[in-house]
Amino acid sequence: MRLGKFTSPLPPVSQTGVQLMNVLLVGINHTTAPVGVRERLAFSEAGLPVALQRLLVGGSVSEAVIVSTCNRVEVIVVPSLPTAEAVEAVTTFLCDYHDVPAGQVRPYLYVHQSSAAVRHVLRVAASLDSMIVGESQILGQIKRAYALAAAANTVGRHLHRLFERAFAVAKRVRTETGIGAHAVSLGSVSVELAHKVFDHLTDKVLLLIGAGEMAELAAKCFFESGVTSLFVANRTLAHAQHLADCFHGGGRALGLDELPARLHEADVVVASTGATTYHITPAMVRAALDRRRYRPLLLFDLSVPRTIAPDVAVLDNAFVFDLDDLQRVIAANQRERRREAERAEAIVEAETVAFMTEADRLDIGPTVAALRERLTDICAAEFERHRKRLGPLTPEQEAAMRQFLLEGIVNKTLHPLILGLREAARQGSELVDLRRAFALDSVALKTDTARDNDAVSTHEEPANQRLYR
Amino acid sequence: MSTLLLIAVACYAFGAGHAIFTVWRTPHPRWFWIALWLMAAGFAAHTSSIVVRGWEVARCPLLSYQEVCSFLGWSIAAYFLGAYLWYRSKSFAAFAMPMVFLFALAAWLLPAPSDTAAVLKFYGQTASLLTLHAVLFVFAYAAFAILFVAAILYIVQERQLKQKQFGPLWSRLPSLDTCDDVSGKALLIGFVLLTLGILTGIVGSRRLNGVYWHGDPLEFLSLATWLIYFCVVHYRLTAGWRGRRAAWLGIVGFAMVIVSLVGIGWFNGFHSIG
Repeated sequence: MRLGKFTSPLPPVSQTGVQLMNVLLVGINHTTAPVGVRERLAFSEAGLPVALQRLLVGGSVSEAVIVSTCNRVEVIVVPSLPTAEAVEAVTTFLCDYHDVPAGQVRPYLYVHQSSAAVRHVLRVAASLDSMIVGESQILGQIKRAYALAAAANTVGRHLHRLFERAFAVAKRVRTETGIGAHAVSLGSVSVELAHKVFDHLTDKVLLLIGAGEMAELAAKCFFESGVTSLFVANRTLAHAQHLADCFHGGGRALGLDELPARLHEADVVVASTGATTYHITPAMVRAALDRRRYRPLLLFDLSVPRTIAPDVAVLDNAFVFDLDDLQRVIAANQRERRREAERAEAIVEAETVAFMTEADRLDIGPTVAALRERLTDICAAEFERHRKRLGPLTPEQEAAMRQFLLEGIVNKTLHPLILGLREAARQGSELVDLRRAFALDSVALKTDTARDNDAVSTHEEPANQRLYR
Repeated sequence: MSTLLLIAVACYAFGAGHAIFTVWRTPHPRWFWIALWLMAAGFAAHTSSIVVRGWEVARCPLLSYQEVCSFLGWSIAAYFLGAYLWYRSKSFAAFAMPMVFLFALAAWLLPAPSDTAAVLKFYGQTASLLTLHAVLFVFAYAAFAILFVAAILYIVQERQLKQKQFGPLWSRLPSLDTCDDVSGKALLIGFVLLTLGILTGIVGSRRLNGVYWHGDPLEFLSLATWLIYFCVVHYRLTAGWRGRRAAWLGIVGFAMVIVSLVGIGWFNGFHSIG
């Protein structure tokens, strides 16, 4: 009976120990590396499947996802080698793949492991690690990276769990905090202000004065928010036409001299010229407002010196924002975002802990159960063996003996073992390290190794005797 | 009836409190629907209370001060719920709900009407016409109340945009367009109803005792109210007046409405009711 019970299965044990949830992250981002290094390590989307396959071929990692954006290159893996070797393997892969000397890359790399790696992935997905905290693109980029890795078959259950959680956390952060709610670029702030005046922008007309890059960026933001009609006024009509053509052909080019006659058709004006005189004067705006029956007119002046006369602001139903005003809004919004980011960090921290606890449970759970069973067997067997020496016992005494003494011994013995396992899981070290938790070769571990050697019966006896006699 | 009204008042109180709290906490409150359902529940109870009261006295319950307050609160709630379904502005709710609550509370606190049979008898044949007159006025006042809320929101928002000082209300205010749209529609509805209300009043009065004008303070107040809103409508239509000036006139107009409402109970005259 004893022998039969001892063959109770333990979870698959690798050469080096139990298979624990261990994640390793090696990467660079905009804070650690200059763009010159980042661009050399960047992966093209088309090249990613091959790169992922190549990373796995070495056998040093069992799962991998590569996130490559303009601000970061991060390789997230589940290592199958001890940490140091796995880090080395990933670094070598990065350098070899991009044909960059390792010495040029190493100083910029950061390595996160286990819970630190999990936290990092959650933070990145929640846009807490972004250059512009709270920007929403990063989540899409990570989802894409994950999808590519999944398609390339380099994602297993560990990274699957991790990324699914990262997406959920990012969503939670976005809904529970206002981290993405405050615009922090000139274009998006302008759009935000426009929404304070106009309910929706779909039927509104945008007038750009000047056809430079600033105007184009602003126009892009407004088009993303639904604006469909565009005028571009510029000194050089060809440039105006060129910019107007960029937007669904919905744009019309104007000469600057046409402004007074057309201003009333615009609802939002974005001016960014290099002019030294005011192109928009109070008289023009007053006439325009009169012609548009005092429907509000919103004017943004992104140029220095200004294109729109400051006096325009005193007119009723005309709202003027110059560069300083917009910068002030941005600064305020950034403060707001930082405040929200703190709340988001708290969410990420809690989610990291929850994730790790769950991972521990998933990973060491079967081991713990099997160990408990084995310890119970040992205790029961020893009790049976020495039962006679105790002399006659009442049924109550016997039951108490079994229930309290044996169970107590099992639980007390198991407790440090569980702690040790959990610690090992966290640090990604091997199960053999658990011997330290007992300060001597414990029964459980003896038998554990014994099972591997398929020599249960021969090892069992002396070990038991050493512990109990 | 008073139990139903109490339920309504309680629902309005919690609804308004919840709306203010959630909107104050965040511009996009997730639990806002609670406020809305409380409001709807309050409205249902309020409606029943008015119907029950009408059933009890077998007439339109609009002959006492208490009944007028109740009816006005109910009308504002109806208008507000409709407007919310249309515009979905949560911050608007946080401002309109307390007003509904206040009128319902006033109705609950005021003494129950004394016997109104004598009044009804006095009106005789013109009772139904004069009831219509009162209903039109109450509906007009409800529209002006909504206009008042929209005007306040407009002025706050416009001031912040002009001065570029973005206070705590900033992210919670509806756009100027929305405020303007709400006030434009409320103005139109209110003005038409007010005009009809005045006309029915004149006709009813003529039938009752052959007099068009009693020199009653309420008549002067209503005329002044009508003139103010007439100005807003006129300038809106002809000069495209909108925005700040129209909003201020809307606020002044509502001040007149409040004075008129108080006047019904206060001034001794043809219009005074118990």
